[in-house]
Amino acid sequence: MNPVRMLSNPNFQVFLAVVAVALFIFYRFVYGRERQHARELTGTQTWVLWGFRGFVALLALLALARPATQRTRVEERLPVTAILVDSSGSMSLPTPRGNPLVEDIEREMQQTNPGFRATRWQSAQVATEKLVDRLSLHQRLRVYEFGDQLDLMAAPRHRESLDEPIPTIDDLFRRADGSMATADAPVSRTGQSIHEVLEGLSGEKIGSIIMISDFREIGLVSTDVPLPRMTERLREMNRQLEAEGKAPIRVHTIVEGTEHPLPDIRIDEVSAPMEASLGDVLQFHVTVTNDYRDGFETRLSLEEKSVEPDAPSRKQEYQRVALREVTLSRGRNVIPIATIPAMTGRCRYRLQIPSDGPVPDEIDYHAPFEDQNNWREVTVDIQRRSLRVLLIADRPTREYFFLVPALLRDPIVRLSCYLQSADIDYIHQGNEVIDVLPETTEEWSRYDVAILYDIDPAKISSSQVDGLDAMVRDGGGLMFIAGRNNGLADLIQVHATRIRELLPIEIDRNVHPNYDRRYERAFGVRRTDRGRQHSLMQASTMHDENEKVWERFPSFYWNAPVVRPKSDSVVLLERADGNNDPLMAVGIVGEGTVFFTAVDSMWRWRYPYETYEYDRFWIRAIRYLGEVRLHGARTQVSLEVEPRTVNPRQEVNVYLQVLDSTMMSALRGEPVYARVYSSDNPRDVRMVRLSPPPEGGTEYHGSFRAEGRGEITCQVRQVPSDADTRERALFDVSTHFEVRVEPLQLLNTAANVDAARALTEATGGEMLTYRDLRDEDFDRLAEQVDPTKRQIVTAITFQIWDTLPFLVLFLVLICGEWSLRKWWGLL
Amino acid sequence: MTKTTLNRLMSRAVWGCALLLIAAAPGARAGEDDAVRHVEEDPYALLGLGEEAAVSPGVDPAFLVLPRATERSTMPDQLLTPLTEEMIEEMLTYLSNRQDPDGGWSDTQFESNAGVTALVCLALMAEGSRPRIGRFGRQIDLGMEFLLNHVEDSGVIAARGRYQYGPMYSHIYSMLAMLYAYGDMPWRGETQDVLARGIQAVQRSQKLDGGWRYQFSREGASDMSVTGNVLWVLRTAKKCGFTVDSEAIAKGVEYIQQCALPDGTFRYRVWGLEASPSLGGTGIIALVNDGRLDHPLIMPARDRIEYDYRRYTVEDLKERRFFVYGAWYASIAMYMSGDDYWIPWFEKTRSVLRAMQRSDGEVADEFDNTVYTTAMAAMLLQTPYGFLPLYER
Repeated sequence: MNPVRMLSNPNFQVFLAVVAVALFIFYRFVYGRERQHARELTGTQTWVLWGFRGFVALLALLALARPATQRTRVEERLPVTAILVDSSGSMSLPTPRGNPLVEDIEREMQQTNPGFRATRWQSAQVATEKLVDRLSLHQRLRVYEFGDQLDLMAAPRHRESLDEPIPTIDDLFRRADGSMATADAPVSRTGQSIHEVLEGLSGEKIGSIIMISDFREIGLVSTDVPLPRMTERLREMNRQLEAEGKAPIRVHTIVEGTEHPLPDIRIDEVSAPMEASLGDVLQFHVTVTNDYRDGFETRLSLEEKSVEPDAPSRKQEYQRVALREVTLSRGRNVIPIATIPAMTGRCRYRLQIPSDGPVPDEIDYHAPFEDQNNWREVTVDIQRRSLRVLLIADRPTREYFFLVPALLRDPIVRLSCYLQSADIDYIHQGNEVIDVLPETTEEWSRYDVAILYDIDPAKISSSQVDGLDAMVRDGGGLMFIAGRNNGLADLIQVHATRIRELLPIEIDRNVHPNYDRRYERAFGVRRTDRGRQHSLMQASTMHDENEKVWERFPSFYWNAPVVRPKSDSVVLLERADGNNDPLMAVGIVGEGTVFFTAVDSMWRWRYPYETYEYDRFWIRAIRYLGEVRLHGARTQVSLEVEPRTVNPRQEVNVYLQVLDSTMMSALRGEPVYARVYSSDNPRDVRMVRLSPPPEGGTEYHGSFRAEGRGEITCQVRQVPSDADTRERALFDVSTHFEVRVEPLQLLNTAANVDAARALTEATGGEMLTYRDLRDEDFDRLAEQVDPTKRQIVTAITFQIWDTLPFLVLFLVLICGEWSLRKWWGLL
Repeated sequence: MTKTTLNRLMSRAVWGCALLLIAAAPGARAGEDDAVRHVEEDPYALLGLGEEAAVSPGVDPAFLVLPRATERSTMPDQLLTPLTEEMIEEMLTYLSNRQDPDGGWSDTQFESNAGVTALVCLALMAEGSRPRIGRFGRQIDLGMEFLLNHVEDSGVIAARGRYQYGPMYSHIYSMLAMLYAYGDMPWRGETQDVLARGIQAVQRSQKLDGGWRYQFSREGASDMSVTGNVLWVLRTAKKCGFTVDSEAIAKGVEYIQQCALPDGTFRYRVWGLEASPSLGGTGIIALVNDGRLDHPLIMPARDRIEYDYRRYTVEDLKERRFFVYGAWYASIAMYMSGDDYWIPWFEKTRSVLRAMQRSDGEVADEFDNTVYTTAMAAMLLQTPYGFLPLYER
């Protein structure tokens, strides 16, 4: 602290006052003691001493009055222009073709690396250099980088003339620690950086703010000022400045990137079952986003490897199992691709779009810019399972011709056919050939599903029907396919009790097939409301696709007459011509399931998809009927998680759709929980409670925040409250999703041109995009920057008493008075 | 039908059938048996090999199935263009209008003929109709009645307008149509017996060389065309629950293999002329029905058909003798061979048929026969509907 300035310190003045009082008392005492000696002094001496004392007192009083003089200082300063360069990760993405700033760089680099693409960051560096070149003559420049924080990179020296050199990019983009700045910040706080710049330069005249960015704000925290709010603040601030007659603060923008996403192809999501059967068709639905161009042709490959530790080494390496040529429309595409697993155990599947695929010459880029998002992996547990199916038919009808191969094609099905009308020494068809129908209950129990296709009731005995009944009640499946050869009335007449109980519909025992009638008018069919929800009627797990498939479901000419459905059965399909005859229905008998179809012309669904939908319908039916035997539980529930690929801490929704409405009554009042665990660590389980649906609804819902990394399994296993054992669940479904850190910068690579435009317009600035980054454009922008110098008038106050001479005089007077008194013998 | 006409017709069929006899290597069958046994031991093994792998479940190789399709086919929508549908409609209308009062169909050279009637019924069944059910249910019903009314005591099905060299073609086409229909016509319970007797008649007439020819007689030499067709019918009969002597089938297949030449061409008869590739479909059908999808004869025969239709122009093919007859056999073979072969072949053939089609919707052969040719063309064009079990994959 300056000792002189201490005198003007208020605290010190108090101290001085205290000292003054102390001195007064002290002098009174001293003078009282000196009174007798003072008489010996001459009058002159006395007056000299009092003169000293008087001056001291006068100085003290003068100090308390704080005398001062004032003068003013006037100076002119250049305005400050802040150049803010976005250093977030998205600035490392390629700059659009046609950016004149980087043409030279690209041309030079592509001589050695044909695929080279200049980045937005490089474009921003060149733009900064050009701005410094133009503005440093009449501006004081500050070059900042902003990403997660605002940092000053350079304050280029003001140039007096064009002859002076301009700083290089290396000079402008060097950080405080000496390293070169790079575009690697994980977040981009655009609005907040403007806010901080305005605060930092509040004492300066700000000529302009120039922001070079793609204007995508990512990773803001709650205290940040987002760009839209900053835009409004600037608009208001400028309004006030103009009202005060001052120049507004213009924000000019240079937009890196385009309003379109980068020409990328990426796999966003893969939908696949948790489990599949060996030899079965395993289908994947791959969501591919095409930001490239409409009608882009590429290939989607599917590779398979075993992740079982004891698998042969060759199986632990990816082998391509499917390849599909696809034509992608712009935007989101959902592509099905399938394979037939040939090995058991946990298998990993990689779905990939080759980044080096054949790309026509006419497109803008050699390849999609980002190849790290061109693949996804999912794990599927491949199990060896089989269902023993017995098909009994009287005659080889058209449906029989197509149904048998459809069942034989399913690797899960071990089919035994029994054609009742066949020659006595006929070798029946099927994977497992039989000579006679099973007779005893034990023999019937070996089958999981039986199909009775318009059978001749005279050729099946009561004991055989008893065996069939026992098989169904023990969890087996039964399918009735009606036909014109025998009809169901005969069957009911012969085996009334058993068959009536098994059928999910009521049949008039007196209505026999009318052979004389011709059926020449087709009728349409429709799914019932409950049928639409039923798993058997789901041609695709994707709703839109399913609806599309059913739109082309065929019309029929004949159906078996049905009196009515049973009260506890579910009608899936009915006539749509006003007749409303139920055509397909399912019902529960014991622990088994029975399916009935009144039409025998499902083969008409071979058009327009050939065998695909036809085969899959029957396979779905067989698996539905045999699911208790196959899985040990019913699976008429659908478990979905959304989204299927999430970032850590992102919210995940769980939807449990109960497809079989009869199951809703079993779930009423029961809590339903989803178990969520990492596939790599099944012991670390989180329980997520699923809220029951509103009355009449069938969908349970829950949500949670994703944790961990990698493949996460979501499982709902519901055991009936009155079950004796937990072994037999009501249903047990699983699905999985993936938690992985998605670079936020790559989620959307398009520049936010609208935000830049709004900011520019709000402040009256100039906006440049990659299309107009020529020299004349920079000249025009530079002209927009206000070059007017700022006159700064400074008022300087000079405290007369608060100076060294004043203090010295004060001390000299006191010391002089003391010295004289000593000299004259008063002390 | 005149002798010359029939000779030409049969010659065409023989040329095609002979193609099947390529490279009947003695070791081939053993290898296939191994494959079948392997599948039986592990039915999943072949399924993992992709679309080319087939499974022949059970103990009879006739019941051969390919793995399930892994995606929806777009072929039907691609091929059933408005033009195709218009052609089909015109043909079916023509056939429907040409039915005789007795339920049968006649042709220019084949009056009231069982074979022609059977072919027309198959064409109408390809539309999706069945006896008494569907748009052409009445016509099929009457057609079947016609066939049932012309069953001889010997079991042979042949009507008045029978072929002068013998009724075998009428019989086997009638058998084929009735095999596909009899499960859907319970009001004629005797059909099963008729078919059983028809099969026995065919088996009784197998010649000593293992094949068949026009007459129901064991004497004389066989030809490959009739033999191929008979084998086709016998396989279908097996699928319908009829017991067929497996030895008869084995001898028939062996006869076809004997017709193969070392250079890979075929002969109409063991000692006869080489066959035309356009009719090679019969051989492919016979071998596939015998459970031999990967038989070494199939690939060259298929490629020959593909090459033949690709090489010649529409005008060339249109002028070809008995084009529709050959195309019908070829269609079954090409459909079996997969879309890569089937789609371009179909489009080319459709163009030829369009060029041949007359104003009433019919197509004709050189002798102005319009019914059997139109029936075959309609069957061919309706293949993408997938309603006729004749066309299998």
